[in-house]
Amino acid sequence: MFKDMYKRANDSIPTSDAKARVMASVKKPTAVNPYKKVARFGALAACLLFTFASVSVFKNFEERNERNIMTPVNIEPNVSEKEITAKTPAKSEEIPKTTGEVVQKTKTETPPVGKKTESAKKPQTPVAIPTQKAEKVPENAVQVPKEPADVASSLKNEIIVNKMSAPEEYEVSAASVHSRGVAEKTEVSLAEYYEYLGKNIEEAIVLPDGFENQSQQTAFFETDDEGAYKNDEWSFMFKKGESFAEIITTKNTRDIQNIIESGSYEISSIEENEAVITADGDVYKAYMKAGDIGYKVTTAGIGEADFEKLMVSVVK
Amino acid sequence: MEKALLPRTREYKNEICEKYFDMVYKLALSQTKDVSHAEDVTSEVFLKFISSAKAFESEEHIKAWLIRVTINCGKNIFSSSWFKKTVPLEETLSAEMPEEESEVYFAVMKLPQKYRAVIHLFYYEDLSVAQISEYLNIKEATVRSQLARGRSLLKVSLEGEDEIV
Repeated sequence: MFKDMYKRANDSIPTSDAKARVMASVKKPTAVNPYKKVARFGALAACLLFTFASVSVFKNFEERNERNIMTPVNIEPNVSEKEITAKTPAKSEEIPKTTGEVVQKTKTETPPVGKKTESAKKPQTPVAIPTQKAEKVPENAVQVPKEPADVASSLKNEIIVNKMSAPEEYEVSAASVHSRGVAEKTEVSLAEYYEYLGKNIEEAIVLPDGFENQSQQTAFFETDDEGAYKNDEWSFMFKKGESFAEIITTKNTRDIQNIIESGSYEISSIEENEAVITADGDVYKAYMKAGDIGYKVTTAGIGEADFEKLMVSVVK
Repeated sequence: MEKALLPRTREYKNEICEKYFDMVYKLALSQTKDVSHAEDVTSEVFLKFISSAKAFESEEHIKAWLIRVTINCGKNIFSSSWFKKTVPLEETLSAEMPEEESEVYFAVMKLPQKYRAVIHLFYYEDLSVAQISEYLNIKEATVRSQLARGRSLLKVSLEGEDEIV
């Protein structure tokens, strides 16, 4: 009795509208779990806040230390502070001392008086004056040793090459990810990966003639309890003699997003997708996010024009 | 001997989503007691299923996976602050159900969440105690005791109008 009534009650629940809505959202290839996205943004914001706070604290600490060294508290100055400030030049300049030593002095520094400190005796290394460009870098940006970016812009897709080494912390190849010892792994074929990615990379890309496809055909991905990929990087490798092009794809785009948003690089635009492109000799590297796919592209031995064609073909 | 695995193509997964929509949605509804949350849970379950790399051996295996993930997603909704903003199920469903049936249905909905899950799977999905135990990864004795406790609470709630079998 109860069973029949409970079944009839459940059967009378209308599901057609809900089914249409849910199936429409599920069948979209780019459908993303909104909770995960919010959680990722939250984690990213927390990381940035923590980094910013750490940098500020560290800076204050350094400044305080420096001040303590420059003005020892236990020594009475024999020249009034006002006089010193008045004599202190506005910008860095060389002040000849009686011993013939040359020291570099800035506006905010109070010169050591009375007893000479150890640092004052030695000739100090001239401090580099920050350029206007460097001042524009936001405080919370990841600090990468940076030369002034040599902007070699290509008009069509606004490719801006940063003449510097790519960030090392992100140089994790798919092979090294796969070689880690993990408990739960699932073998995935290339066809299944294309299904998951929603894109056939080998068909899409354009390379100069003669490049041989040496991409991996299967991979072992670590999965969580519910079967979702924990790492999903796939390396597509094309070689011709010493030249090569490697395209690593992933749907875990957080690292790439971090690089793009770090503020340390000039940003290129490829088919309206943001990318960071670096060049070191004839090695080009690109970090790009297009839709829900992240791309890490490395080429060697192909020119900038072919590299640009490759990048455009990857996202088209 | 190795077991043959079901295909992992998008088309096949879409078919499975269509086929098991009612099962997942109604189980989600019994867990969340809210139509829009049930839709959210159902979407989440199917998105997980579609993006899952898990190799399923049979449809029974898929069904078990869907039930387990639905229960887990339903629990996650409970812990979300958004869960507080719900519309009572009586308001949205009472018009759709005959009076007697709705009394039984809402009596089940008033049970604690863990009893609702086993009652729903046992009486609506016709799963055995052994299957529920396997799907929810709990002991058979626990399933039996939860069923018994759920039944006795329902008896009190329905004031002996029906004998619950």
